[in-house]
Amino acid sequence: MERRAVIAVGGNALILEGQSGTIAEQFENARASVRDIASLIADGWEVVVTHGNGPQVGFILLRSESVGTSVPVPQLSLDMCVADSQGGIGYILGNSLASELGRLGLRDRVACVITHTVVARDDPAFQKPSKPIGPWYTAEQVAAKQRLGWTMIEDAGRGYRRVVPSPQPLRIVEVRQIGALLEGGFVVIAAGGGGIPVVEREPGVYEGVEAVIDKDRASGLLAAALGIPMLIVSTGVDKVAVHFRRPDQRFLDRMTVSEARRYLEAGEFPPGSMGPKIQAAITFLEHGGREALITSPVRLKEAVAGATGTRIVPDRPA
Amino acid sequence: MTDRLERGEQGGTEVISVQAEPYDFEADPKTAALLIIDMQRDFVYRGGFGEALGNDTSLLLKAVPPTARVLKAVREAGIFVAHTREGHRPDLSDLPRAKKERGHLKVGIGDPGPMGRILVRGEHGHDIEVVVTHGNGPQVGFILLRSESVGTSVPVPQLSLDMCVADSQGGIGYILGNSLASELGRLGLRDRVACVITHTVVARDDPAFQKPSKPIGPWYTAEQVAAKQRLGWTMIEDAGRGYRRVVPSPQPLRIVEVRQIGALLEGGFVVIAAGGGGIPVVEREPGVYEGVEAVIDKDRASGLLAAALGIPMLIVSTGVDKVAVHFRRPDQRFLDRMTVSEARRYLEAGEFPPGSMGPKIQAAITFLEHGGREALITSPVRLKEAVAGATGTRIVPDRPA
Repeated sequence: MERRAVIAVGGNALILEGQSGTIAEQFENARASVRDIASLIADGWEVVVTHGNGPQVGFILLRSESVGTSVPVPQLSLDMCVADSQGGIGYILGNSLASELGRLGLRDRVACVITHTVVARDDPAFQKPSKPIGPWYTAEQVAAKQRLGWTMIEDAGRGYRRVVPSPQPLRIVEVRQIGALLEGGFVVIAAGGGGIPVVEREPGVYEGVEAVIDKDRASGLLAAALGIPMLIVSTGVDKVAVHFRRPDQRFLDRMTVSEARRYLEAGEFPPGSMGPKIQAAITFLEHGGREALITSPVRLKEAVAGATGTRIVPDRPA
Repeated sequence: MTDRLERGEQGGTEVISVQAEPYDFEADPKTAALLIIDMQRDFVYRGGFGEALGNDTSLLLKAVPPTARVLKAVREAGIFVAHTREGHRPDLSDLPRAKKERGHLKVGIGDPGPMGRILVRGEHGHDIEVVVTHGNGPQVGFILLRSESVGTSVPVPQLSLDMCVADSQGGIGYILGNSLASELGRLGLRDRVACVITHTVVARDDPAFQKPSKPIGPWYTAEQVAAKQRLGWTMIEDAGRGYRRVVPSPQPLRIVEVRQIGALLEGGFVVIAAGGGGIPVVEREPGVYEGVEAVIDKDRASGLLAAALGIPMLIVSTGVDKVAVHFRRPDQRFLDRMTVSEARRYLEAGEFPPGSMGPKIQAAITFLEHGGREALITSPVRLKEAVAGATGTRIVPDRPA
């Protein structure tokens, strides 16, 4: 297969369990996360890096809401928070990746593009918040947060989190810009946090909306639009498991789209965690993708070589 | 032609009257069109095909402002506009031999030049460009102030100043980029904007780190100053609008993403870059960067970027239509034009205050000293007029190139 991939890095990958997410911690984790990506690029891979922003976009929103009118600063809408987070995480990831490539003798090869993603104004997700953002809270703190009007959910065993609307991404606005940079030989960081959510009022005329888009779905959409055959989702585990955290837990090396869909329908992959990643892989493969690979950032290179990770492939190999 | 077209009616049909050389004429706006030929870099800039033919391109550039005025008037009248460019396929399969050999030029069509291969599609010289840069003074201050104000009251990390600059590039890139993309979308130019997160290299031992000078964040009253100073902030009076916090503003040495921005321009995109002057980094070893706490002057960074890209014109859009000397004094005087030497003399005489017009003038000087042809300072709402020559202050090299 051609050596071209979209690699989606989790926003959580920059903040490990037990960490509060200081900027120093996020830089340190970013350096660990990009090492394998830089190594693949040095091996000749053409790469677009996308990233989540769950914790970071929540921090930005929380800062804005917490200061309120106590200091003379404007209140931020959620789309503005996503935009800020693209700048901030783009810096953390971009600087880490550029520096790692610099050490490998590949100087100034990274370009981070602010990315907009079109959604439908009448997407039902606006009525039903589901995307976790910001810090984790304890069970005792939940009631107080709900009184602020927040929707709270339990998040993958790490505590409770605020959730916001997460509409379906329909189109990435900057596909041609990203393509031009790839053709120029650059590594592109794009679709941060799934992209800044906008609705298209008339062709080419956009307006921001308050939401956070799932970065894995946006990444699959971007890969398909760019004609990139491989989507790599880098997450907290080396491999996908069924019967997760149960005695009969089993890790998967490979599944077809049909198998993935059956597991998903059987409730094997929880929403807000592995579920959206599997869904993104399925959508990507249905739109011309050749292979989706789910693994952890530190084992990414091994996984690409076939030694670990879970591969999802079309039902009939193309 | 004049700046406005006279409209009238003749036998029930709308007509426009145009004063022009060699004769005035009338036309029906529904069936008339304006055809603009050869306004591409390869013809009007140095190093292109026009110069290879032996033309003095400075004379050609003089045709740009009046042509822009005609274009504006025609667009306002709703008349169809067509532009032509000459661009050959990269393999030159559409270039007849007679044309290739015409004139026996040393450098001709398809040959490499400073703007890429001459008259070849997709090359830099084949197009017309815009790069937008932006400041972030108020916004980076807001972000820093939010971070400092919440302190440890909520579980969020404290932001360093370089992180605040990065956040502001995202936020302002969104506001400017979305506005520009949508405006272009309305003009039928869809999805043509690219905003690039930009890093700017500074020296770790820049003396500015010891002497904060760049105003950020909101304006405060004289009564609030003492309380802010007790927080360890350095405060200054800012251009008559109140008091502001200042942070270190080291000299930009190099824009990291010049080639990336160049690739996007060559692809025909409008680029937003160097937001807030760029995220300040020091280069520890070649290509290895580390953020530092500072904010870089956007005008200096813009001048550096324009020079590195080989862009001939730097436009600094600010709060005034023109630059003044003896500002806010009875003998205040607005300037149409000054040379680099004059600008430097005024700057040394203290005519342009630091933290306000001073850095803009300094940026223009730096740009012109690095090969720039013209710097133009004006307000955003009169920018198009200023480009056409009707307002703004121009700074030019001492001897026209």
